[in-house]
Amino acid sequence: MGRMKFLCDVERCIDCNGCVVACKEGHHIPVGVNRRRVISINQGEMGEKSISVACMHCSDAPCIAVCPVDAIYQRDDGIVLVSKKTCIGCGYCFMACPFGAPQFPSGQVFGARGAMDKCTFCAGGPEETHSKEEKKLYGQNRIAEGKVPLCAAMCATKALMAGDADVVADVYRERVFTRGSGANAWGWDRAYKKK
Amino acid sequence: MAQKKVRSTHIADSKSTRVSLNPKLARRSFLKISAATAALTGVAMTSKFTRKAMAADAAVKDPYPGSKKVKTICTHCSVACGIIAEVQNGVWVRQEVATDHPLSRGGHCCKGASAIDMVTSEKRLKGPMKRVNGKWQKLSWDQALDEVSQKLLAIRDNDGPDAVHWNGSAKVSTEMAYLQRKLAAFWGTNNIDHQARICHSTTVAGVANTWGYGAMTNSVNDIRHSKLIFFIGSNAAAAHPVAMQHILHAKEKNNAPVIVVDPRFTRTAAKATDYVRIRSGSDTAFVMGLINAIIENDWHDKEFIRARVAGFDEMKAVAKAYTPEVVEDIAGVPPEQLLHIAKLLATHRPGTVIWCMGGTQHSIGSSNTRAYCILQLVLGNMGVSGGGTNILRGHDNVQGATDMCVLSNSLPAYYGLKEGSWKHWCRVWDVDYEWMLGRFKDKEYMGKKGFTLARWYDGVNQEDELDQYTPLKSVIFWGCASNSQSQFHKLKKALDKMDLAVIIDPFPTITAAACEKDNVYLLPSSSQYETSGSTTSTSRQIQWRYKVVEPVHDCRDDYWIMSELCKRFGFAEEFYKNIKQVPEDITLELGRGSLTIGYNGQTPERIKKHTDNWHTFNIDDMQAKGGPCDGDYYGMPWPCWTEDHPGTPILYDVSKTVAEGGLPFRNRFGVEKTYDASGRKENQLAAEGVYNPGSQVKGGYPEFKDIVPGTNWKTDLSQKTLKEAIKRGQAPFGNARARCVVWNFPDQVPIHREPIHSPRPDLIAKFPTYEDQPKHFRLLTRYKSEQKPEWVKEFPLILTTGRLVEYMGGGAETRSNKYLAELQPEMFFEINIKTANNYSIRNGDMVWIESPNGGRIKVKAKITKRIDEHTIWMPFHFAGYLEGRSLADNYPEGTVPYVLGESANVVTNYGYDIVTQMQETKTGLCKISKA
Amino acid sequence: MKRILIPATIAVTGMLAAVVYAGTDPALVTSIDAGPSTAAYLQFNEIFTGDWQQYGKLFTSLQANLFSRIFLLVVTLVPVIFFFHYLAIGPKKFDHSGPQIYYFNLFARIIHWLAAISFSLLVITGLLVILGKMLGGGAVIRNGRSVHILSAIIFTISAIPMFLMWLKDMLPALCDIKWLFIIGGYLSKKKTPVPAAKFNAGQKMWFWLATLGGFVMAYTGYFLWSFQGSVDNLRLMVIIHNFLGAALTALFLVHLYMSLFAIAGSLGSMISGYKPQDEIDILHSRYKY
Repeated sequence: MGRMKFLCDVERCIDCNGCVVACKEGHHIPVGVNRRRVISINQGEMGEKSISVACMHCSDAPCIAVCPVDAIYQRDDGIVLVSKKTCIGCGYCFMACPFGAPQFPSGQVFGARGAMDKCTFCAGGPEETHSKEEKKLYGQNRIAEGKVPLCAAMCATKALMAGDADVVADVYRERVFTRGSGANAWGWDRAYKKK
Repeated sequence: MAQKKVRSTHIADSKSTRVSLNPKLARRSFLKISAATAALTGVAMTSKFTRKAMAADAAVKDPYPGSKKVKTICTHCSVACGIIAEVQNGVWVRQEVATDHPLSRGGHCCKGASAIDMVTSEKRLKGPMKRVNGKWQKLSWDQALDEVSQKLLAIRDNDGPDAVHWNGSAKVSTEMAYLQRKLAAFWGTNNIDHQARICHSTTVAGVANTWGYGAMTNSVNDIRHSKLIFFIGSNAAAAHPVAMQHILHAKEKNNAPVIVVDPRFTRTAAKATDYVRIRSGSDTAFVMGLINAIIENDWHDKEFIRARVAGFDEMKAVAKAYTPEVVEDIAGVPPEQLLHIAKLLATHRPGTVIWCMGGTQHSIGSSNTRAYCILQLVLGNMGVSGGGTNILRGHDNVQGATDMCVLSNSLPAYYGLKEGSWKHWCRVWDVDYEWMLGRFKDKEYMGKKGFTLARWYDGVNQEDELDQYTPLKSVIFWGCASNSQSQFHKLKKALDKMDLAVIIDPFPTITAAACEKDNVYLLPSSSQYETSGSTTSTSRQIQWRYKVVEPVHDCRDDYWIMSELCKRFGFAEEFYKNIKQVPEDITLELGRGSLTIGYNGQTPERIKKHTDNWHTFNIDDMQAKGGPCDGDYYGMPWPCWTEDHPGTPILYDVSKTVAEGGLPFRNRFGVEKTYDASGRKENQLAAEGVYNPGSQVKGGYPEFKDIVPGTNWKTDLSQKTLKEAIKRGQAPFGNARARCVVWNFPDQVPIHREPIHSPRPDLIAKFPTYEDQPKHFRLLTRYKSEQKPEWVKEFPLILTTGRLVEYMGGGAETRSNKYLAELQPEMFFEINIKTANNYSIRNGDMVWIESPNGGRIKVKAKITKRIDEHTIWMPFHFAGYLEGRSLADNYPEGTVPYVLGESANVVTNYGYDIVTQMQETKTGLCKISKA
Repeated sequence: MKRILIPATIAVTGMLAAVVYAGTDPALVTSIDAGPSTAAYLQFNEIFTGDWQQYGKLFTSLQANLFSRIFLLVVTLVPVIFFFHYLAIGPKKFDHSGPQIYYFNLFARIIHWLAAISFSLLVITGLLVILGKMLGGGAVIRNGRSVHILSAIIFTISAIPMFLMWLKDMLPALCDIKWLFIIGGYLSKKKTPVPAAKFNAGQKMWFWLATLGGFVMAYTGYFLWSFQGSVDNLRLMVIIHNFLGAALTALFLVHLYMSLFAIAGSLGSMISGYKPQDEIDILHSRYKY
């Protein structure tokens, strides 16, 4: 049994928002709800970097800890999901989350928030797999189909990775190592004038 | 409700106590992790990834039972990513990931990720419409087509065939683009053009005149082998995001420096190792400065130049003037940086040069593009993997449409407009040349270049003197935006003067909203996912875009509209003589005629076979190893000379036999030339010892002719000449040198000339523009008389435009996509903090921007460090506001795009390339004031 | 905690490289020094988790461990104490057949009951939310949250006139200290006059907490409803809301016990407006009628 993780490689992310739209289009998410976002730092100067962030499916997820109705739960593979039927839209998970992942579409009464929506790692929700209800509430369940999440699969530059933690870490380690033979190898700039 | 889960309330507890006990969940938790993880290797940098993502276990339920998966190609940019469309009961239910596509490997930018929206968008046109008393009125297809064709025929009778201007499209299939060009020919005019005019026309002209073909020489995938990547005027991260996958691969694997030369610090620059800020419009000066520095330091590839380059000495003499100090004065690049870049170029070979509209959209665009080519020639980077000029084209099929020459200056496949060219195509079409001549006003107009997309509206407004017997009375926009043309406010004026404007598009486009007279017809064509045909990517690869679903609403596919129009014009029989099955027979016909560029080897069967088996192609060299396409290169990059030729992945590569995809430089401009500048006579054929393996001639040779008497390799429809050449191991087009001196251009060697609207009066005196051209694509184009040194006093800021990743072209499609609209909800312009403070403009303030040519727009300021203090930058995708006025009410009901905004092209300046009439939108002047 | 996951690990391992980079050859500074990704990761951490470090952690551990327990404690412990008080001391009984004094006018009573009902609903629905997991969440609690929001509006509106109308009588007086010393005489069964005017010190405490505290609750609650401002601000708001809420719940239960059980027939005075003179003489000995 693997542990599912996301990893975004900032050296690769070009802020094209492919992941964001792949997620929205794939799950028919209402406008205004962002399961995934791309954030950039140092825009327009040296050191501009972007990163794509969604729910990180934390171990010890703070959202699970603070949920007053236990609507959020973690699967054995580490994916953190929310039961929208249980959720009351209090917003505590949003305040607990370090990544700003929980999103709240507006509900019907007094402009109160509806049930929380967040990245499902393309794993649907507690309803029957591939049922109409699951599709409507949570979008596709690609994990059940044996597919990687849409955002990572559609990443233009393969910056965003998703999947089994060990494999993701291996891929990333290999990348860092390969880069190491190039511009950023430790000590190269001093020892060999970068070449 | 009973407690479903057991969980410790103690936060520091391990996760194991939070395991779900819900049996439903527990069962589903055991997803096919192995499969998901296997698919994940697609993100690894391994080049061996050709495996299909492991299919889900049979036990896993299929969310869409009975659905079929259709392979198709994204319709946004020319990178041509693969899409797998899942179709259930004739409805496109889901966009699947084409993980095994050899180029994109499943990758998409935000536009491609919502490709399905092209079909599902609520903003699509639902049926034919016309404007009556300012209101949009629905009508039937029959009625619409009858009225349109009657009106057009009436104009043809009264004012002549040249009173109609056709704007074709780079967003349709190659077959459809070919039909558009053919339609103009049968109509009897050369007034046909499309987006390539304002996108890469200067590239095609400049590059083809340097070494034979005006296209990307290598491929997007081949950039993986580059040791250096030199971007100039290209923002691939925004315009070609998926190409960045291979570019970053080269950066990481090869330790390749990435140099970005641009007036704006783009998102591509964010990934660069070196960023060079040049003044907009100083490309030639900067690149000639690099060439000079390379030669001065003896870093040039002397053997390559000796054997394969012509006119080097003459070019060297010109480049000498561009010393680091001169370049600093013109481009603003410090001499140390220039030398640093030159040294990087010299020490990292092969490097590739990538350019886009930042280089092409200038009055000296055709000099810019030649300067880039010469840089690669001097470095000896041509014809090798990892080198070449990797010109990234714009629209998804702009390469195909350019190859089909939906252009006012040529018949398909760059045959030109000479009598011989017409006769060639008449033979292909199986029509009598005399009959064809009869369609035109006279023989002069048959061979005369028509109006271009850049300036057709001046054929209506007549602000500059016309060189045609009648002004334009009607315009047809067939898959073409109008807000991408400079001086859009004048274009709008022209639309209101026209007798008839017809818009054939899946979306109403701004053209429909800008026409405020009862002269507009809207014919809703289907999107390209609702029809089929081949499409040529920027890498010259041809893929088959399969039909995903039948046309939605009351839309019709382009082929149907074309045939209905031809019927009503009365030449359907001649037009469709060879075409029974659409579109396959069109592919065959255009292939039969397009011998110059080797479109004949790519039969529809082969193209489909490649697309069906895209997983068998290697991502590194794009060759199929085994499988049904064994040995072929993906998409059979043209030229593909015969039906068993594998395609030419790298142009001018003399290390391979011609039969395996090798080629020398093309012999196109005679065998000998005496240069005007030096009086030196030079053999234009390649030197002894330069030849493709297996060639019977061990050196240069001229192009093939008279294998079949009276024909040459371009006109021998039996294709015997091509086969004979390949049998002899030779290229049909000869083996020549690449030219540094293009004697048929006004500037034989690229030299810097100040933009028409230059902020530097002192440099205008030193580097003035050209003389006015009275007969430039059927009208006067002003150069010297427009280049006034005093402009800068009133209009002190440089204006340049560019792309956003979220939108494409004029944005009619993408601004109608709610998710993309959400990401870029409004028009803005970028301004440096210093400039903003000087004008007391704050972030978010509304600002009037005015151009010297009378246009003005009101846009929101975005303060940024991306741009320097002398320049402002704007995206050009927006439309729907005109000089502060909303045009939302002019759209048909329910089709107003989610995002409206001022069109940047209202303020882009007058100014056109001397060779191709490319609009100068990348540099101009403007003034700003707080609104 | 492993919450920062990979970025942090890489950040640490990359520190050494970063040190070396500081000494890059100045001749090559024209090249953008790509710098280690770690620098960027650190910067992103700053953006994402920077403010989380301040109140996020505090909120998370308070909400996960404390709040629901405090409320649970309040709603169990307070009634238990009063239960024993009732058993040990029992209700104070006064002569209702004697003269009646007009104590609360109609306006005061209407305002009181508006505030009382909405406040009760606030307490009940608030408890529903905070103790939601015992009830399984879902529609009941979700509707409870809607009622909470509606009640909050009604309470805020009614609390304003209540505050103004009783402000003068609720101002602290010297006798309040004496009252506090003897805890209002509630710990004895004897009927000795207690030092208090119209309202005793207990009532005053309850008044100030319910009105001023109520306004704070409304203010913080508004943020929790609207999600305006920074996340960190929200975290602070919710912490205040919950602590204050617990205090209010406790005093609410006290008030409930006093009016329903501790003083027999006390409820009637808020309905009819009349209090027995006997009761006033003992419990509000300084009241001038």
